[in-house]
Amino acid sequence: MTGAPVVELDRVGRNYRRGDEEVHALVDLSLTLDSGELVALVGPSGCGKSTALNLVAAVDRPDRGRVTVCGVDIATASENELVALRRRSIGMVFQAFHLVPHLTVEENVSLPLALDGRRDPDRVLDLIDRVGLGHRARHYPSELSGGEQQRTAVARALVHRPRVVVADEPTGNLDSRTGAAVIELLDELRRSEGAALLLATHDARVAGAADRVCELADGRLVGRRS
Amino acid sequence: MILKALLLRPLLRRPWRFLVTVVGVATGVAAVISTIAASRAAIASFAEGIEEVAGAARLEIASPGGLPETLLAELRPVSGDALVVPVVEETVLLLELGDGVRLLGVDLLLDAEVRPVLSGDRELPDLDATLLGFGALVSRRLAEDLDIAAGDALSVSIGGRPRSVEVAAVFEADGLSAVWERVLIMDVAAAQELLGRVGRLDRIELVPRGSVDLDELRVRTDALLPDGLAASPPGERRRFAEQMLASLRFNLVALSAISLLVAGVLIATTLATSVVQRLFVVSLLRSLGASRARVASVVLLEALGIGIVGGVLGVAGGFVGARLALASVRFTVASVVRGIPASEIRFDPQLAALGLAIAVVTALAAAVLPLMEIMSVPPLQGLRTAPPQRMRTRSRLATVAVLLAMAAAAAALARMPAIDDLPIPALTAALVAMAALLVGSGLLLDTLARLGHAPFARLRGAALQLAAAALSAGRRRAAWAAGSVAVAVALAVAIATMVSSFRATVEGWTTSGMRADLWVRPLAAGTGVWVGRLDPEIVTIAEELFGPETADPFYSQTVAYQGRPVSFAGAAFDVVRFHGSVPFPGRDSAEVFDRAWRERAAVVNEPFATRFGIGEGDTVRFELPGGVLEREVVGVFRDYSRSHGLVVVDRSDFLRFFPDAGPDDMALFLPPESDAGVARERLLEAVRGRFLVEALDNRELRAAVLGAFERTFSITTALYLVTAVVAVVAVLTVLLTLVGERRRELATVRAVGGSRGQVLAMVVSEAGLLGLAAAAAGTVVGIAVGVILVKVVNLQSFGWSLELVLPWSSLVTMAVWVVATCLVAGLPPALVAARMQPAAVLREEG
Amino acid sequence: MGRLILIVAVLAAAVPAAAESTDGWREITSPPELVFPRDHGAHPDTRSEWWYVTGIVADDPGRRFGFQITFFRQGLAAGPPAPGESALRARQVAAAHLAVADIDGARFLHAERLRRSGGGLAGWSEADLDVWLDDWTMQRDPGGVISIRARDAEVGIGLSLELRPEKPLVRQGDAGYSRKGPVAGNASAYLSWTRIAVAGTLEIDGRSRPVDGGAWLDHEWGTSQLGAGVVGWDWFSLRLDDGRDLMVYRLRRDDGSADPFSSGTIVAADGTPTRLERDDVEIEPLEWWTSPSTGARYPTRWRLLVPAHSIDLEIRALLPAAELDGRATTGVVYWEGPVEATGSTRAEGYVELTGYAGSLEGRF
Repeated sequence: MTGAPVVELDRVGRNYRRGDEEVHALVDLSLTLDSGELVALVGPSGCGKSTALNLVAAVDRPDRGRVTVCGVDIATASENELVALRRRSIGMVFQAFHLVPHLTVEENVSLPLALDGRRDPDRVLDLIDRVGLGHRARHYPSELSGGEQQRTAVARALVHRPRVVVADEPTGNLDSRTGAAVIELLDELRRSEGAALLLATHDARVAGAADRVCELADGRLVGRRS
Repeated sequence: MILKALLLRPLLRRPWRFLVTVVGVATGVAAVISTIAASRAAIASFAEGIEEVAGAARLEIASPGGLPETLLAELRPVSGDALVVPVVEETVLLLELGDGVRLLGVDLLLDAEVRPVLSGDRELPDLDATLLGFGALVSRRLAEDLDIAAGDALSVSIGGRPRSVEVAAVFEADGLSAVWERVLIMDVAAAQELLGRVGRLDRIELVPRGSVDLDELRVRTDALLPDGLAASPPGERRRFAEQMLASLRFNLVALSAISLLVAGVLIATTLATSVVQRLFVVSLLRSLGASRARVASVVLLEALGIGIVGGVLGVAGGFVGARLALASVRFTVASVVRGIPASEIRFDPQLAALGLAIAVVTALAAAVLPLMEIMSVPPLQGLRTAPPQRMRTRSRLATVAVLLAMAAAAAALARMPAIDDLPIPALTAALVAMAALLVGSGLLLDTLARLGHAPFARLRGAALQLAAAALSAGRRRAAWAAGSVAVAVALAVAIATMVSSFRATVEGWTTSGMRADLWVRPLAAGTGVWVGRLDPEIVTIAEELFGPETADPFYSQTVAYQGRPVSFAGAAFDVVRFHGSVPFPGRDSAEVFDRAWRERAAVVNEPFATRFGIGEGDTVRFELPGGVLEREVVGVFRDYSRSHGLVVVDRSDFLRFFPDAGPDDMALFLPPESDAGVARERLLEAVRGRFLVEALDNRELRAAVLGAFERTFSITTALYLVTAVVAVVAVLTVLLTLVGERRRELATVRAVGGSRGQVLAMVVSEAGLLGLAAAAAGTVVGIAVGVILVKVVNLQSFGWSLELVLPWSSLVTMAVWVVATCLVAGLPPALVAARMQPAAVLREEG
Repeated sequence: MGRLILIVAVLAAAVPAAAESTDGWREITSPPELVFPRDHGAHPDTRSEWWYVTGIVADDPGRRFGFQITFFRQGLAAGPPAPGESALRARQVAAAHLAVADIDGARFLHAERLRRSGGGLAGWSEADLDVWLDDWTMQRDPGGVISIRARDAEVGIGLSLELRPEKPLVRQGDAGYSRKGPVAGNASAYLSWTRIAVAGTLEIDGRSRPVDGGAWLDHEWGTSQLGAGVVGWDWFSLRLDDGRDLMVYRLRRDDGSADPFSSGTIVAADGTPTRLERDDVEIEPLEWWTSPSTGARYPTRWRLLVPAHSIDLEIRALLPAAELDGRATTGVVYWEGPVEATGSTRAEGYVELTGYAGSLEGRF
């Protein structure tokens, strides 16, 4: 569905300190994400993709400009509002998978629900099945291959029916075949769930599957194509 | 370069962790050093003092009750081969000091050949005052403490009789043993007159002239002595005293050793976490080419540093703590042996070295396990996150099997008899039980997680569920922490059980056993130190005032029974049989004494019965100066006032062998309707100006007895408070580390929808669950160990059978405190976790 | 061991002005009434007393030794014991001194003992000569033979001797009243056996050997003997080959002159004593020996003349270094050694020199 953008970045700037240095991760970034869209962010490492994704995922706040996610202004929202966003409206997939190592696949996937005080075991198992890990529901991340771990992460990102899924280089730690499979899965699932996907990557093929591609360099948007 | 990276920089960035580990080491070492130093000062130096005072004498002749001085002339035939020296020795109360001192009467004309005080260049005392008057030599230290000089007078109380002594000279005690600082040296004749022992000596010493075959001299001397007397080296008298104190000393040291082990475990935990924090860096360096040995050496170096710094602090703290502990130990020792235990702690370089060695060894040992872990992990794997370590069924079963085996071993050991009168098997059982806590802590957490999984899931608290999962998964380190806390809890519970059992038993004992209205003893000025016997005249005075049927004087003398020291005592059975006295389990005390009176029999205390295997119906046989005494035993009574054997016969029997003896104290059974306070006044009035005595009424005496127990247990209490502190510190450190290790994971939780509050709750719950698990396991094992201490250790060490009384309210309070403390200890790391910016953490990954 | 004797000396010195106060002790103020054997024993009512034996013996091969054994009694507290007093109180103190001069080996060895008499390990009889201190004894049997036993294992010397007086007991001075100072009480009762046959064993270096020879025994007792101004004395005892015995003591004053109360005795071969006054005797020191340890200068050769009795002797110390250095112990340093004489006749004996290394004034 189209309508108001699910995600909107308007002249966003974000700095942070690394030791003694002040790094300008984002300088003046503006982009939008519409409902159900797949937008790819491309650019070399250090261009600010991850920073932008963290802002969209309500895990970080901008220093300048405005970030609006599902109608919520990230900069001014209260902590509780942000938490609510993360629990209900946003799902994240990381390059390093970031599964909780001492929880099983099933427990990892159900984490967003559990944190929100909800239980939906059927949904959890359903998603696990759909990512092809039904036989591994009781296993631990350390017992899974990289691809399997990422698929678990994908299931986790969608279990709570978010409106936005943010994926930061999801195939970065996977070989090309596995990576392609994961991307396919991710895309398929989010379509069926009706979630928008903001995807950061430097893989051209992955970018090729997107509705729109935004090019970033040095914290700015330098190119756009469809 | 490696050194800096691995060692110094993290230390400088986070000095807190290093300090905390150092404090842990220091506290453990301080606990051990203070108990050893205090017990050595009070006990060992007491025994050493015996040989020090004996000086150059290589043989001595002594007998309970003393020797007739006519024996001197009998020794003329050996006087060519050895200098024959008469000695009188007694503890008296020095009123200006308010404490006991040793009065030593020697032949001042000959003493330069015997003891170090008069030999060498030391100035001669005023011989006129000393040989013909009542002059005494006083150490410079004592003279300074009392601000006295030659010519001043000192007041001593001997058996309650006040006497005056003149300071004839002040001698330098530099370079001499500390025992001389609390000794008054007088001429033997003056001492005899002062002590009312004219005609008797405490011992005769033989100082060999030139090279003499000691064995041959001994044989020749024995041939000159009457039956029952023999010459023996001073070391034997020392061994006698040490025997009487052996149990006390062993238990003190054992207790401190256990607390060191506890501290060691805690140190290992904190050290392990400190080392493992660096896992990532270590693995990285190894992957870059640093050798295992290199890395290992750096880690060991840190451990060494912690050991040395902690050891130095611990030794310093230990000697300070020893001073605090000394008062209690000294009090206990003084109640066992008659003499003056040392009153100060001297810095002992050997002990300091031991403390340092213990610290370093513990730190190095503690570093070994985590080091092995680091070293065995291949470089790359260490760069990745550690896999969770949920227990497999096989290892679970193996652990259960080991735990069962340990429980069986502990049970078997607890049943074994003592070795050399020392409860070694039982204490080993206690150690095994505590070790089981460490072995089983992992299993415990794992079980907790499993059991908690369902109920936690049903509760809407995701935090709790995650906490439980985290605990069981971060198994090794959390397990160490849980294990250490559990051990500390177990020790505390065990000690609390022992103390409460003791208190209840002793209270019951004083209630049933202390029935007299007044107790009269020589003025001790609250020192608790034995200050001599009562003058027999005081008994006469009491009998005149209140009637002969009221006075129960108690006489005692230390004698050898089958080569071991016991107290041979006499009491007024004719009086006690109407009132009863010490409790005999299951019997009426008065009846037992009545039977003893009619049948001219004896009663013995439990320690005697236990140690010699003699009970009701058996016969005791004493070889005393002047003959043999055999008596049938008609009762075994509970006695918690001493740990050595006591055999009591009627006073007529006692006085037959020791006719000049004065009683240690006297109990008065006043007629009914009498006022103890009034009676006390009458007695004190009657002796005013002539004797210095104190009379306690029933209530005061019970308070004094219980007070003595409290003082004895103050050390144990202090020890377990120390371990408690160390436990809290350990938990804090571990939790901080666990949080640090799981930053990414906590950040993930935050990213995936966890609120700050939830993350806070996770960490705090983890700490709380850890505390709960530790408290539960620790309490269970602690009760078991407490039972061992109460029912086995005390019985074997001291011959005391105690009633087991579990301090339920204390146990519950302790458990609550532990959980609360862990929750509180979880707060700082929880706050750190909650305040963490997930973006910052996640950013680190890519 | 010697520290002990120091104590005695200190005690003696502590007694205020020896010449004046008596502290309850009985003084010898006139010739004593003597009853024997009782008066061979002790006189505990006087302050000091000694039984002093010196002699020269030789073993079979002819090695000569001088020996000295002295038993000494010093009273510290006069009067009977107080009621309730311990028998061990040091009211009287016994001391003993043993010295052996190995003349041929030029060695001088000595040992000391000290003990209070209370307690029975030291003591003396008042019925006859019977004194003991630990295992050292001197005892006279009813037949008049005196046995002496003393040894010190550490120093390695010992005596086991029997003494048989060859002449009757001599009462020195005025029938036993030997005055040494201006005050009547500056005196002792002084008896001697001047010629004694000695036989027995002597132990030196731990080896015993049978010896025989001659000896001299002095027994003196009294209180506050020396007068003021006397710094020491020279005492000679000689057994002359012509059968006579000679005893001379010169009390030396601080100016070096002989005190008028210096005196002596000649005992004829039949035992008859003749008193010598100061001026009857001339003594001239001829040679000196300086002690390397104390720096005292002792005469070791003398010319002794008793013209009225045709005695002209040159006396020579057989062992010049016979100094008893008791500074570290006794505080008293004196010289006591065997001598032999030539001249008008031959003689052997002992000489005692006191006060050369520090005045003895006020000590006795």
